[in-house]
Amino acid sequence: MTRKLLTTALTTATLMSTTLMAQELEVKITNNTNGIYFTPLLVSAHPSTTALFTTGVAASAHLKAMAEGGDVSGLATDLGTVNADVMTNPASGLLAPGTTTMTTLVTADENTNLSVVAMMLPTNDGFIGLNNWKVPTTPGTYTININAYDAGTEANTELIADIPADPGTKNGTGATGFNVTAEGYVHIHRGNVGDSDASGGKSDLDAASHRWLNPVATVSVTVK
Amino acid sequence: MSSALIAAGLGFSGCGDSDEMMDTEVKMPKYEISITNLTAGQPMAPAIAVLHNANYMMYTLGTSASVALETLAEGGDNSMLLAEAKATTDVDDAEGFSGVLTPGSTLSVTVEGDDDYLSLAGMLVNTNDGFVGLRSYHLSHLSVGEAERLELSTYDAGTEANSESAATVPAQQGEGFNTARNDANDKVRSHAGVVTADDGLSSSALSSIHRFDNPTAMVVIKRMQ
Repeated sequence: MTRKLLTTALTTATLMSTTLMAQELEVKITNNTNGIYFTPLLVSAHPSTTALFTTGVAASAHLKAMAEGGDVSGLATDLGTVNADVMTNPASGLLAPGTTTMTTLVTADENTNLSVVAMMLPTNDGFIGLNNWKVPTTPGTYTININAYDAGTEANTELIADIPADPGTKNGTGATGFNVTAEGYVHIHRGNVGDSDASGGKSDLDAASHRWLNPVATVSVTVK
Repeated sequence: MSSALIAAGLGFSGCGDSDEMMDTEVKMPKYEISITNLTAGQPMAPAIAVLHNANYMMYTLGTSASVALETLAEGGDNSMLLAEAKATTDVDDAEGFSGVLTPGSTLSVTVEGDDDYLSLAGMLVNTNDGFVGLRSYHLSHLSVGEAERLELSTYDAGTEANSESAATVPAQQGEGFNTARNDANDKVRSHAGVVTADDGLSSSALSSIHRFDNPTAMVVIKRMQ
């Protein structure tokens, strides 16, 4: 009788620790902008001691690759070295303005914090960032407003030659570009300026299509 | 009887728990306030942090700014706001940050006292009268050792027209504070951002690097004791 009770207690304890160890997260990402596309997203649960970027500090080479060219492979490799749970490209390509994608993560117990990044197109080095957000342990749905950051690694010339593409094809050509330099540190993006001249002017971006205000994305996390 | 009382008294004073309780009662709450400039091209003039009770209002959206706030927002001079805060019993502590907060950099001050509301303000120097602000943020939920991160928005003091001309923007060598100057829409409000010459405002001394979106600053509040 005593032994049976003890066994039951141990089993219960094991089950409970299992629930505490692994969290199942449903992560929805919505593009809130008018005309900005997000490149393939990186969604990751990782230890709180890891951060993909820090505001006021120079970007890593892998953050730069994501912010300038949409390549998240380097950041995914970095996260692999700390045994993070990583999901790349949940939208199977670009996340268009006004659309939502969803993914699930089953997280290891040390992976308590969530990050989400993707480049914003068309920008020089703009990206959306949820940075090292502590995931609540209480089941429920949590909604987070996401800001646009500037990696600080490339001058915001707004010349289409310096930007991978405008997937919405609203860009112009033949602009002189803005006479600016790379800022050198990650910060809140000041926004695209654009202009209304498709064949000249200062910017190849379109002021009516390519501006935004924060928040540029919404991340909704359901803790199961 | 008397020896029993003495023994009880000694026992009480020797108890570690009560010593700790007394320490806790004696120590004033103390907060480290760190502010990071999140902009590309808007240095912030020396900011001010005020620890106060519910009666103090650094500013109120939709109403006129005080002359002290106008002085800070138009010219980057925090001295009057600091002096006024220190002079009122509604404020436990008011501290100025040590210098200009350049884009991307971080500065800290500590404030100490029983009051549990925090307000902050600092001018964005490439604007006419724009400032980053935090108004009456309640700190009572912070326990010792706990830290909280906030993102701050930008406000327009409403005390000067946003001409963006070199003559009126301090960082462009223009005039700072002038209480008489065009207070036409004299209400503190959310700042609409700067237009700049790059976006077609020909009278503007500013360029694309001076544009900003919120949040313009991040604040980390850590309760030290």
